[in-house]
Amino acid sequence: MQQNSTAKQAMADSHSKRPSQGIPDVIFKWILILPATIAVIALLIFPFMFTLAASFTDWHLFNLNAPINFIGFKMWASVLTSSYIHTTTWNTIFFVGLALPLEFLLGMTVALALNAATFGRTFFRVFFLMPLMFNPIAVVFLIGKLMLQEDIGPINDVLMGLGFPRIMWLSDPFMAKITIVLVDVWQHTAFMILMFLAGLQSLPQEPFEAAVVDGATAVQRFRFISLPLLGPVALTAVLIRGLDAFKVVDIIYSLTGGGPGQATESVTLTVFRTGVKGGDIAFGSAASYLLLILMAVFTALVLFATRKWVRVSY
Amino acid sequence: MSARVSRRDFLRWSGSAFGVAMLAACQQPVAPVESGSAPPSRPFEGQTVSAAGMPWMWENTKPLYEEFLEETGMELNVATFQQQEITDKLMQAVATNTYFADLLAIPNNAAADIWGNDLALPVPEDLLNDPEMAWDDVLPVYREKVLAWNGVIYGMPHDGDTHHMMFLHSLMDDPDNQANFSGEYGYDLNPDRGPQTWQEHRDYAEFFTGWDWSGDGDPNYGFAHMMKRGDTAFWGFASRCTAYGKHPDDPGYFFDVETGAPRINSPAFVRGLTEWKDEMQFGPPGMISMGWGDVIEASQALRVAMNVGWDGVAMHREGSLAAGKSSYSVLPGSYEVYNAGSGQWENRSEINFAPSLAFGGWEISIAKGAENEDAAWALAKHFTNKEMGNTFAFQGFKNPIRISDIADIEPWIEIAGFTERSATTYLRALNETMTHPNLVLNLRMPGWTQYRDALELAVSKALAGEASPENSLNEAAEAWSAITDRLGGPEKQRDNYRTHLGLD
Repeated sequence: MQQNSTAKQAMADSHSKRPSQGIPDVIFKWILILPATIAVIALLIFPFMFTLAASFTDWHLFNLNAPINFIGFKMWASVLTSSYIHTTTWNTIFFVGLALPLEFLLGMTVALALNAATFGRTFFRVFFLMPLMFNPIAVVFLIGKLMLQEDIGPINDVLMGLGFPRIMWLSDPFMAKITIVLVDVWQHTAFMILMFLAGLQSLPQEPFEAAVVDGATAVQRFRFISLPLLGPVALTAVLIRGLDAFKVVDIIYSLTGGGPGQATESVTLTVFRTGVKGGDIAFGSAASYLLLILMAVFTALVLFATRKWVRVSY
Repeated sequence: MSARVSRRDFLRWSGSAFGVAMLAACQQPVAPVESGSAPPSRPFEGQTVSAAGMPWMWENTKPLYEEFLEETGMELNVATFQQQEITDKLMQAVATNTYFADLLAIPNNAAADIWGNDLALPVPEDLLNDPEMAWDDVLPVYREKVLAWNGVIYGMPHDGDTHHMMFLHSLMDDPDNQANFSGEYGYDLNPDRGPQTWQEHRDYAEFFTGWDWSGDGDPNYGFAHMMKRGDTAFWGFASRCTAYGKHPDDPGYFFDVETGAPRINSPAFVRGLTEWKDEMQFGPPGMISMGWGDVIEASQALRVAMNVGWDGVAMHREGSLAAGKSSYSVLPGSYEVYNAGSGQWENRSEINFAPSLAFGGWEISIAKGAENEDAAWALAKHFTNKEMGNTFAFQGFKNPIRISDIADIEPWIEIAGFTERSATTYLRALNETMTHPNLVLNLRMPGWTQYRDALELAVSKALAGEASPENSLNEAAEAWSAITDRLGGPEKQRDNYRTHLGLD
């Protein structure tokens, strides 16, 4: 008992605010979190607010020596009424709307197969994850420039050998949209596989054993056990991959440059073209906030749609 | 005496130590005292010049400047970027007035932004009078216009770029082709100069499309042009329209020199785009996705009979099937030219040629505020003096910019690997282009990246069938006007355009 009291006293002493013996705890805590706070303010909050502020000006980098004027929501109005932005917004939604479900379904399918595989398991796991290890530019060169070359590429060669017409993978506006999706699916399905495989392997075995005893088929086990239990993993995968897909730029920039016409240009590419390359900081900032709003809407929709199916707390 | 260190003391001491270290780091380094000064033969001993450029400028050319560095004692710190990257970085540095490097390789389009805003140093008088530089040997269009802004020379004469037409004379020489072509089109193939008008170019392209003239078992095509948006479509399209849109009596091409209004939706450009789109049937499938690199590959592989582009040397590189078969000519012209002043097409008795100084080359310039200015100018001189300039050109590290670069075919045969016929036509095409009175200069305007993007978008939309040539170019003209407004208005940009053309 005496020892206990001594220990408590020692602890109390160590928490005391006696400047002569050291720094008060409350200040010391602030000192410790100061670097992180500065980093967050400098690298996150400041750029965020700076971009927002820039979107209310007429700032153009290449209009040197010209004053920067506050113009209220004028630039936002320009962005929202711009047919150029409308097209790139629809392109982005089309891309996410097609690529994400495809990657989800393919990822889930392959993950289930890999989870059940008994032969060559390790090899196939590594094999299916390989696209994720490639640089996107290398993927574009490999698939876009070599495989899908419209005149002498091997895929058209095979298709035409089989009697199909030549497919204009990159030159036809609609096919170019599809090609961008296919290239993205080729590369990023591996992410879904990774997530689902990890999820499947962490599921408890008891429900499955009970279901087998009850005579449930494989489809029923998937539908009523695996799928609900994978909910949190699926939600996480969709959000991460979906938000990433909204920002797609590398594949498009190197494969089609946004063309033909404006067929494949994404909002991020527009922001890059106008704000970074073109120097139109105000327009680019407002457009980047449009993208942010789109992504927030997407996140809200996904969370709303899965609120009963996936029980997670935030 | 307590051995404990309080947290405050710890922070105080560590902070003090950090402060002392920072102060020490901020001190100017003290040069070690040596018994004697650097020998005169190494005048830049201990000085480091930072340079920015593309990899091809610095990596393969090392043997051409290593000895210079050794002799002068100069250290060189090179930052290489790909073409688009260096342009972006340069422009951002310009816009934010940020130091980028001592020696800059400037894409000609960016000259208005960099030189026009006084962000680079004028070439010093002693270099302008330096016999080794031989400025009289620099082609006048470069010396007087391209390397200068507002009458002041800022660029050292490094790289000269023009668009010219390449055609396979081997095809035009063939008696069967000659007979068949004459029978079909009512005039003869021209093996010496190729098609002379865009109408003839269409005929040639049509004739050489859809059959295996290369003997590789696959059908071949008439031509390949750079059409890819975000790549080189801006220059491809600009060069396609010069014969229609550049009137010999009117200095303006992209803009009206009196009002600053864009001309890119004039009937001349609409006609050029309409024809370009129609002619795509005579090019490889997917030509809308072909950039300059793709055009070179298709030409080297004998998939196409003609192209328009920059690099005659490429056809003669190892592995090129077009080596010894290619000839060159100025861009095709037209008997009809649009007069923007009268708003009418004019029929002319002679062909209106309007060659294009597309891209205009990479100019070497020294940044204002360069840390080692003298050393940077010395390096610039080493790269661009007459003797070294010739060597660079003949070895294919840059395109000709000097009279002596294109005066003699021998080095092109011996060093660059041309045949006599290829070299003769190549140098003739370059000479006729760069000395032509109706030459269209590469566009140098503040904000040119946005102008370029807007025009490439319109061209690409029309070529992809997403809009008619007229509508898409009208959209582009509206976009150009909006860009002009964002950059200070039509009067300001008109003045810049006039300065670019050397009118004021």
